[in-house]
Amino acid sequence: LIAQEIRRAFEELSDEARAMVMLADVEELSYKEIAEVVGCPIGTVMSRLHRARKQLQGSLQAHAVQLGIIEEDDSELEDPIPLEAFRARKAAKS
Amino acid sequence: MTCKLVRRHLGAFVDGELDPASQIEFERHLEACAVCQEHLAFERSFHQQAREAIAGVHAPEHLWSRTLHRFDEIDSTRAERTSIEARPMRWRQTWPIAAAAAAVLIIGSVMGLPESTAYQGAGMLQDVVNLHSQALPSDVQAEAPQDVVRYFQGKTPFPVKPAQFAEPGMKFVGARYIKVGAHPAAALYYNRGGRRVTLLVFQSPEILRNAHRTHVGGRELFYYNVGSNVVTIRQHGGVNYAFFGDLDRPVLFQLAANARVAY
Repeated sequence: LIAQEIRRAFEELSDEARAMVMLADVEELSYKEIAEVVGCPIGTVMSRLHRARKQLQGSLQAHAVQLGIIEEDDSELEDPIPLEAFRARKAAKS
Repeated sequence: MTCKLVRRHLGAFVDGELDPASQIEFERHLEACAVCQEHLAFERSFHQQAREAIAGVHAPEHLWSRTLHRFDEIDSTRAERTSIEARPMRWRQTWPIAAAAAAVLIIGSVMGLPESTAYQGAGMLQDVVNLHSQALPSDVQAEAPQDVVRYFQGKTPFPVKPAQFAEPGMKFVGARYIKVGAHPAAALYYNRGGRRVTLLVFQSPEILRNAHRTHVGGRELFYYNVGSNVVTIRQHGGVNYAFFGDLDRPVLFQLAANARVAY
């Protein structure tokens, strides 16, 4: 049932998002390789893949929320905070 | 490092795509945060489920043709890069000579040995110190040694395989990618009767410059005395294999000499 739900959600992804998931999870390419294949920066790969996976998880989470296993968390759909920004803030504090 | 930051990068963490410094910070946080550990467990489980669920799904033809074309280009580039970087002369030009002394120093520190003045001042292998002092987990586990080979492809400029030992007591536990300063390296973990043995694989011909030299079982070995212990180094194909662990000196020499490091 979980696999069916994932496949259904996968088919609903945009072409771009499907490509990200396919290249990362099926072909197991590195982010750098994906960036080369699709012609975008690695940071973009990270954020697109994050969004795509969260969309997939969303369908499963909806079931889990209905069952009361987890709480809804909208923040997960936000883009990743750049680690560079985190490091810059950390350096500024120290 | 906040929970929010960690959770939003868990995907990259599971994919092994964080830089080593971030990886260590993430692992520190995860060790102390039970909630994030649950998120990590979910993320790992989901990656596996997703991989299995869509394994039979076919990508659009245009994507595959473009991807396959890029695979060929990437493979060609990687092959050229590996052959270039494996040449000692080439990377002698690009690697700091200080790496050699630093490596020895930190290896000594890792073992919790008394500091020697000869080994002071180095910081390049601080990642290795952290790795051991915090007992960070492996990136790849022992259940599938072939995954180790695959894991390090593209990460290190040299192929990495778990060394094989004739001694049945030596059990491969796992491995992780680290950086020695700015340079890629592989840490391979073994267990011998409850004692940890670590094999650090890296490139630095200069590290052997001041090393003692001996032969054990017909095999040339280099070594440094560090306190009452010893770091034993084998060299093969321009790659150094540094053995160290909580073992008696003769045992470590025998292990290093008899190990199959390239096969």
